[in-house]
Amino acid sequence: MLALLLLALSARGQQRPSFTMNGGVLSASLPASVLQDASVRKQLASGLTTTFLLVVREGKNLSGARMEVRYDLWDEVWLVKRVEFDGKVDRQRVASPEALEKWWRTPARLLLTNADRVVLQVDLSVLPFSAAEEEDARQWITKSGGVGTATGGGGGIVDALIGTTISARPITSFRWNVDLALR
Amino acid sequence: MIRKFILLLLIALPLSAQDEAFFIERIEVRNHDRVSPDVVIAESRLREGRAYSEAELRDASTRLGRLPFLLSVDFALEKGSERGNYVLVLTLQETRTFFFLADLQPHFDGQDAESVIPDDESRGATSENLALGFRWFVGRRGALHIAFSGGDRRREFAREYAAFSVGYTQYDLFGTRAFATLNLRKIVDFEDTGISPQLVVGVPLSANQTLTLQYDELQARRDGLFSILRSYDETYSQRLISARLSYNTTNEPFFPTRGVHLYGGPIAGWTDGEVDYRDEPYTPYAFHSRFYGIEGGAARYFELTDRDSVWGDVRGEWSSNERSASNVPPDGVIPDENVVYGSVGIGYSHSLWSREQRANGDSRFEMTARYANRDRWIDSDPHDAGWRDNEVFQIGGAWVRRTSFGTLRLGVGYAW
Repeated sequence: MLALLLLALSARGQQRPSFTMNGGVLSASLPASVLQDASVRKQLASGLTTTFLLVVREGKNLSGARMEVRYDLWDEVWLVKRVEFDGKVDRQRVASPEALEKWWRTPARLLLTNADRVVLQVDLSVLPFSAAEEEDARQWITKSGGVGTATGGGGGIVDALIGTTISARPITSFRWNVDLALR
Repeated sequence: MIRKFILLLLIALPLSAQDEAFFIERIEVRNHDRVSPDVVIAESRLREGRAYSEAELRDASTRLGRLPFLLSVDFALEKGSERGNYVLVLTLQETRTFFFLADLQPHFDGQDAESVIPDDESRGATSENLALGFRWFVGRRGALHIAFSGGDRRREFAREYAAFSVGYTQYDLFGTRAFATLNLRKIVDFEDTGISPQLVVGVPLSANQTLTLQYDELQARRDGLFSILRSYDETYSQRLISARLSYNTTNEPFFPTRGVHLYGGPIAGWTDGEVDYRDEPYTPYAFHSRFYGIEGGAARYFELTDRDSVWGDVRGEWSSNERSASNVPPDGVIPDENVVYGSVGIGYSHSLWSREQRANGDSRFEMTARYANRDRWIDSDPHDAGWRDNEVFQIGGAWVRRTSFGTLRLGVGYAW
């Protein structure tokens, strides 16, 4: 197993994701400062779901992951879910802010690559409410069948996903540009 | 590529199992000063004692975001009186008692372009060019307003006038979440006019769908008009009935940046009038017209980034006007008309404010472009029958400012 801790080359003083490489899969650990953001903390305390949509652009290639966090007011636990780039889903109940932060920092698998070096644009959108219901999604897929075949515009797919299936306005968003040497 | 698309879809779409419903035992509205909490709850279409999924709460949040008397609403849950029950807390940012909507974007035209594109279509969401007044919430579910509204909006075959109005809106009509607004208008353009009533009834079919029925009546008389060396008096009456079904997921009432707006419906109207010339040899005549039509449109708004938004829309209208007169007026015959109108518009806007600042309004710069085509068929004029085709391209730029008082758009455009 090859595991490398990779640092972004263009640090700007703010906390940034850290990246690991394992078996050709690039993973990202998001900084805890995202959870400390005032608007994010307010939404996390609302008892409703906060959705974190992570979109990674590598040239024309797109990938990403999604996290959902909801504080259950009655059980006083955090209900968390992570969907990684290959569709793998992880659900957990975590009982404390410390455990939440530990889960948050667990690397999310983002991208399959065999390149020696990748230049990434990483966008994290924080959305109120859970994403749209499955029925909404099904309708969207039906209505936008042509989008799936629009292979020339990968960015359009992700933008459309953000803009249509998740119709709530982002609470806040983050963007990091990173240049990673993988070998 | 298809596999990649499917994987992205899996990431961006939720698994429905986790979208559980919350039993809302009580809805509490906080930070309200002028706005009635009952009106906010009624307009959310949520009811106490029912369970709602997050998707339903999100739709309610979006619906409240489109209300002109709210700048923003935050949703949160608190523990209810027993396990599994919740209190839904709605925290408001209100607009002021005084309100305005001023859409001032004159277009310079190289030809007769202004006659093709109705003023309200210069962007895609507004229906009036100027409105200002005061709004007070009275009782638990009522609102009273006095206002002045401009009359620049053009509808085929119908006249629109600037007017002072006094109106009352009753929300949650008979406990149905419907609303009704009665406006009593005093038309400014006429010297001798009575009170012209207007009734609007809105029936929300879901959080995003609304059926709106509207009736307008105008009775007026103008004396001492002057046209081509002739002086005359005119009496005029107009009745309009329209129905509109709309599907709206946009985020703001006037200049949205995200969401979909679809609408369509029929309109019918009647006008009657008399022209009485003061000088011989012209003889007075009476005229009557009956018109009907159907209109529809679709607009889609996308937020590309935190500050940038693009939109596109299409609109269409067909209308027919059957006219008659008691005798031939001095200017010639009065022909029947059919009009087919269509337009396509695109736009881009950029917010000058950060997301945090936008909790209290917005300041945006926008650019728009539109193509419109209006075909007019005159079918009973023996001298000039046939289609008259008129098309226009229009571009414009504007600054849009939304505050707790209202929305202002200042801009300029060019049409050719």
